[in-house]
Amino acid sequence: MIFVSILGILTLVMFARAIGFARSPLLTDTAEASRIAEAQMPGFHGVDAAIDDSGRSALVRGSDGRTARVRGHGDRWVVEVER
Amino acid sequence: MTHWPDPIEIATPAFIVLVLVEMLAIRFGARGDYDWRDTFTSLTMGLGSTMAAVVFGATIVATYTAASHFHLFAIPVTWWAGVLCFVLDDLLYYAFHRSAHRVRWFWASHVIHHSSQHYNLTTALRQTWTGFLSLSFAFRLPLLLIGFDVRLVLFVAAINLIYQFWVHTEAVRRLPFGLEYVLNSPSHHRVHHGSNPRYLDRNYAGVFIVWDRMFGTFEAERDDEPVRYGLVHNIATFNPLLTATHEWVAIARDLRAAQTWRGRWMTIAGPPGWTETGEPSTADAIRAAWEARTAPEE
Repeated sequence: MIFVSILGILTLVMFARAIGFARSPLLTDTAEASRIAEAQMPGFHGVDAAIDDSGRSALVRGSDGRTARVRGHGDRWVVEVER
Repeated sequence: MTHWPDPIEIATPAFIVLVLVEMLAIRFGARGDYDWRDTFTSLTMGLGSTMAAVVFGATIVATYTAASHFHLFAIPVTWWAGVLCFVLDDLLYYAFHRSAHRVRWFWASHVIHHSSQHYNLTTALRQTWTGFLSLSFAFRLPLLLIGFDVRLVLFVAAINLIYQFWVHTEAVRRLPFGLEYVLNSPSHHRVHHGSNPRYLDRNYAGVFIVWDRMFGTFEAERDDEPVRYGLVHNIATFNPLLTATHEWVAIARDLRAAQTWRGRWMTIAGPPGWTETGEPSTADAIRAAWEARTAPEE
């Protein structure tokens, strides 16, 4: 039974990938990085940002002195406070 | 004891077909989104949850059977008992669900269901592996003590769970005929999965949204404020094992760092986001800060 379930899961996952649910977006500019950080951290206001060469990660400095790290996670973004 | 069918076992093929239909519908323009990695995590969490139910199911049934020996009434298994049990079970589900968001020990299990930044039918299947540890089954004990049959309680619990599957979709906007006032709906449950300050810790309903309206936890979905799905602090992993355990690990870390007995107690029994030192990030604190920022200036 468990093997049937695992096979079913893999079939659905591969089907999702095959029909195009497989994006890994890149950050286009620093304003976008700030926008993502601000959206996930209520009250945070980005004043400066730097994007890494891969386009999948950025550091955003906030007006309150905090630094947010924006990282690609599948087709979404995860934001963490650096300090 | 007569063997009753397992509604979830019967419904599982329909779940799979509906996931496929939703994926295709989105591909052809319906509202919603998928990511294959997120789908993998959600479905694997669902499989693990089923396996956990097999491991702990016998203990739960034995506990329910033992509790039923202390029943107040001998309620027969009839259609009216089924309806009454279903409604009361949904009220107890509301209590469980609200506790699961307000007590960190319970949240450590329930957080898994909210750990996706997507909202689709596979999110419904992203279930905990550690519900037994969080004593979620204990919330149904009053039904046994009142006198409902153990099989009936398990049956209505399964129907409640099946109902909640279909509300995990963006493809359905609003229900017609005033049903939004009575029933939990995709719209109401989207709000529940939101991390926007306005939507945090709202709409705990399983089937009947009337509980939220009665107990002051209802929030309507606003077309001018799209729901941002996921957690206040989203997790950066698709690993099912890390997804299942991350909050338990965080509790252990915070318990080690706690400096007072109050701190240790609140780490377990306080709301998620409570902290002994520093700025709290509880839902109440986040909402209060947001309200202060957005309040019109006098």
